[in-house]
Amino acid sequence: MNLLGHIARLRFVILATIAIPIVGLLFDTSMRLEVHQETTRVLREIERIEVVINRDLLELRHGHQANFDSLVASKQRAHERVQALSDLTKRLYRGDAEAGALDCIDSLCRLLDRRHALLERFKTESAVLNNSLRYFPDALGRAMAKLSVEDESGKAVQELSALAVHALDPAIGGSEASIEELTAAMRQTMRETGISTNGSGPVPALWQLALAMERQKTSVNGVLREATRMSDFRARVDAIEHYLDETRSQLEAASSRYWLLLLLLGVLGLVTTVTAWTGMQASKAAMQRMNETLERRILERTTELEEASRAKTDFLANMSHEIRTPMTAILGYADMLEDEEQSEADRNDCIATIRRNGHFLLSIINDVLDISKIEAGKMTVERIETEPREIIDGVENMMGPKAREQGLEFRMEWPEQVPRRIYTDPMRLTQILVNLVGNALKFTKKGHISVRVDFAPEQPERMRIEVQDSGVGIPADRVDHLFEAFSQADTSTTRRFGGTGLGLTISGRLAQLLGGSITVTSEEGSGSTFTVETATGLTECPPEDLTAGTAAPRARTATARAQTRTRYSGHVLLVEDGLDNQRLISRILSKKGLQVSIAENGAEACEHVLERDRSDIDLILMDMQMPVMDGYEAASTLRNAGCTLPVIALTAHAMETDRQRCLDAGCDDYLTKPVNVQRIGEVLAKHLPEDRSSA
Amino acid sequence: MRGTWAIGSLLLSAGLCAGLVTGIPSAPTRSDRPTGPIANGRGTDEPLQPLETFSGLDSRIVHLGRRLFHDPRLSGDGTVSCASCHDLDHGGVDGKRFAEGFRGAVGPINTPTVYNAALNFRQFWDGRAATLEEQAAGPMTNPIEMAGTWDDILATLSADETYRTSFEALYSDGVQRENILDAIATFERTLITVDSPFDRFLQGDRTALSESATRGYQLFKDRGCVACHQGRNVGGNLYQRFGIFGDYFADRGEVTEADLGRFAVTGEEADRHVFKVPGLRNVELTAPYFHDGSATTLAEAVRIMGRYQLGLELPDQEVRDLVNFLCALTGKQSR
Repeated sequence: MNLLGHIARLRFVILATIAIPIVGLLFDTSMRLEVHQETTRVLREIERIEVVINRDLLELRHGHQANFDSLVASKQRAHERVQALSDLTKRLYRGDAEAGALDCIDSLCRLLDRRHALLERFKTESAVLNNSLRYFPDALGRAMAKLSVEDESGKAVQELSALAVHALDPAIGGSEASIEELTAAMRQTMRETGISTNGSGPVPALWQLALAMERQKTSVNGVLREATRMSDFRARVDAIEHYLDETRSQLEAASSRYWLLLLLLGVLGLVTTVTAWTGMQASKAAMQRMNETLERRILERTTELEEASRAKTDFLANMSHEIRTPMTAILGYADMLEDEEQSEADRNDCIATIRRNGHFLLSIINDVLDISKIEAGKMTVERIETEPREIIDGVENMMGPKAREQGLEFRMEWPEQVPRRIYTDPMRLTQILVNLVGNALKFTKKGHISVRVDFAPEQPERMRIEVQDSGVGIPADRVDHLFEAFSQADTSTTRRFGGTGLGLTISGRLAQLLGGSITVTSEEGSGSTFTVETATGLTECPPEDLTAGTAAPRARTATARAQTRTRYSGHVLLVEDGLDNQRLISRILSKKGLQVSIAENGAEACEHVLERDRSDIDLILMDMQMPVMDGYEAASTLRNAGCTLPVIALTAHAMETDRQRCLDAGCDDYLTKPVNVQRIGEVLAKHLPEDRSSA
Repeated sequence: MRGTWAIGSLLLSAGLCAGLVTGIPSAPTRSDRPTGPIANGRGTDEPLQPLETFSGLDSRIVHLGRRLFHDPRLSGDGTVSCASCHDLDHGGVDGKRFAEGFRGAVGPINTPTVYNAALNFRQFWDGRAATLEEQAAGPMTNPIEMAGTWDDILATLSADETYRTSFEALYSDGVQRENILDAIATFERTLITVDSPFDRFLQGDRTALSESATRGYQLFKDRGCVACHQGRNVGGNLYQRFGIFGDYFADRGEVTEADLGRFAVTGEEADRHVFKVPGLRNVELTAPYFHDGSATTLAEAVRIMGRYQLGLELPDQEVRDLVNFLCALTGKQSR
């Protein structure tokens, strides 16, 4: 697959790689063909020139040409062609047939060289002959003149004429014997007629000349015959052409094969180009589609984000409103408290209002903390042994009085049997139920609120708790958005009914974390039912683990109240940098009968405890966030120094991880701000002796 | 990217194919051999023909060749030029029996004229050079002639601004041995001595020759001189043995290597004492005569030729007529 992908990607390179050598071969082949054609052409030219040379030779021999200029020019042309031929042989190579042709061409060139050398001999020899021929008439004239005087019979003149004819006839050659015969006859006649035949006379000169001519004719004719013999030449040319034809047909076949291959590659290239082009178009279209999808998604997401952002903005606006409302009450009533003229009842009313609003503020902050934990995925729940009855009773204790205050009926409905214990997070389950009941209280003006527990022993793994009210109900179209964060059924709802609008979101998420869910059924105008389903952590429920569904509420508040009033003895070192908190906490502690010393920061606390006499300090209450030295460092410093005094951490960080961090630093216990008098009492009770004396 | 590849390879193929079809253009070559006067020996009884100049010569190359021909810097010591021996004002020869070259060194043979040398079928007395280019290279590096070396010649010419410019303008490869020889030979092809009285006679001007010269021409033909001295150049188109009727060299004595003729080239016994037949144009101006410069006058040369080549003792009157004819072969000395 990978290999195929590479091939597909490199297909043009591959095609070009194949095509280039083929083009090269084709080029080479056609070059060779060209050399062949050129060779053939030159051979034809040489043939033509050699024919012309032959004609020149014959014409010269028979006196039809008066000089050698034409022959010399022809020979020069032939020489140039032979040179061209031998240059071509340097470009003819490879192949046995061509090697044969090369041999033949070589042999042909040598043959032509010999022939051209013969031409020179012909010129030289025939010049001598021509010389004699030129002079012969003159010599004949002299001989005739002499004989015409001396030869009265005319017989010798006759014989001289015969000799002259014989010598001058260019067609007759090589008949020295005839000349000798004629000369002998003439000599005989001359002797008979008494004419002098001594050596240097014009007649002997003539017949010497005739004899020389006859010899020269023999020589010239010999050269001529040799020079004009074309059979060897033709044989060689034929052989060369045979070889060349053979190679040429091979080359032509190869050439057409290469052309075919090239054509094939061209078609392939074209197809590849077209497919690449269409592929490109297709991928372009796909890209376009993808872009469109992306754009749409981005648009959607942007809209969502805008909504979320708007929801958060709304939420913040709500928060601001929600926080300002109780703050206004707290500050306003605090101002009123300063008024000395108020009656005791009015003061108490002011204090109650301040406390209520403070609690409300705290609940808002707790909700926000919860939701941010949930949003960050940091919310964890416990699975510990819990009594369902205790949880429901707790809810009843907390919410029942409020309901009754509003004139509502608050009912608890139990099935016949509930499990004695389940495994869940009691705090979170309580939170959910308090939330749901709180909502019901908010939206119900008259009628009832009921909490019904539903449990089937056959299905021990789940338990359902329904919170039903007879309130305003929820519009059907808002039901779906009910559990979304920062969303109340109506933003106006917040104004009418108060609340952070986070309660249901937190409850829903907590229910999920507890292995269940919250479902809602509602009818506008006649009330809503929220059903919490939670995992029980049980796989079976034997009868002995079941218990009756009714029980009396426990007197918890009484205990709590008792604790707030308890007095302790001892000396507490309060480590706190904030002046207001110093004063507030000092007062709470003093009211409980404790002696209080104050340290501004961890370093001061360490100094106080370790360097002074420490026997007068019984407990350290330490803020965690301080300048100079913070609480964590101070606690670990004290522990490292061997201090065993109880150290109670005091922190505004309300998260579970913060608690653990405090304990890890060496603290014994943990209190969250804002300080709760009751909670302080509980913690003090653990670490300090009770002062019964002044109770 | 792919598209570029495809187009590239298509173009490459197309280019190569086009190359195949049209043929690769050949590199510029040296000046093509000019078309010479067409030999017109056929169809006429006249063994001698009038001269015609070459056509198609590049005048710039001719000019360059003329400069080179007269430039002594081509020689070893900067004193000898081609023109030192081939004096264009004196018939293209030096007038000496043997050529005198580098630092007075005396050569073995008589200087042949450069006039009409382009019409010779071979160059040198023994015909060892086929072309003027081949011939020109000989004396330039011959230690007793110009005694130059190609390295020096090329260096000298390359250093000369005007030469370098000319060569670069006329030849793709600038100053090169072949280009120098081409230029000189091209110039030499312009040295055709047209318009001699005899040529005017041949062209129909019957008054161009004196009576004696006219008789001389007839004798030239009748005695057989024309058997060898024939064609446009009145010779120069065949080899012939010196001494057909009698042994010239035995009679003269002191046979030298230069007397061997073509034998020195071919080594064949038949070529002993065989020389290129010299053209007789301007022969009036090229004394002394023969390869050995042994004949100081034309009359003497004519007599020797008659004796050894024709087997005739030419009478004085015939010699006078022949000399007058030969003097009518003197043409216009272009230079």
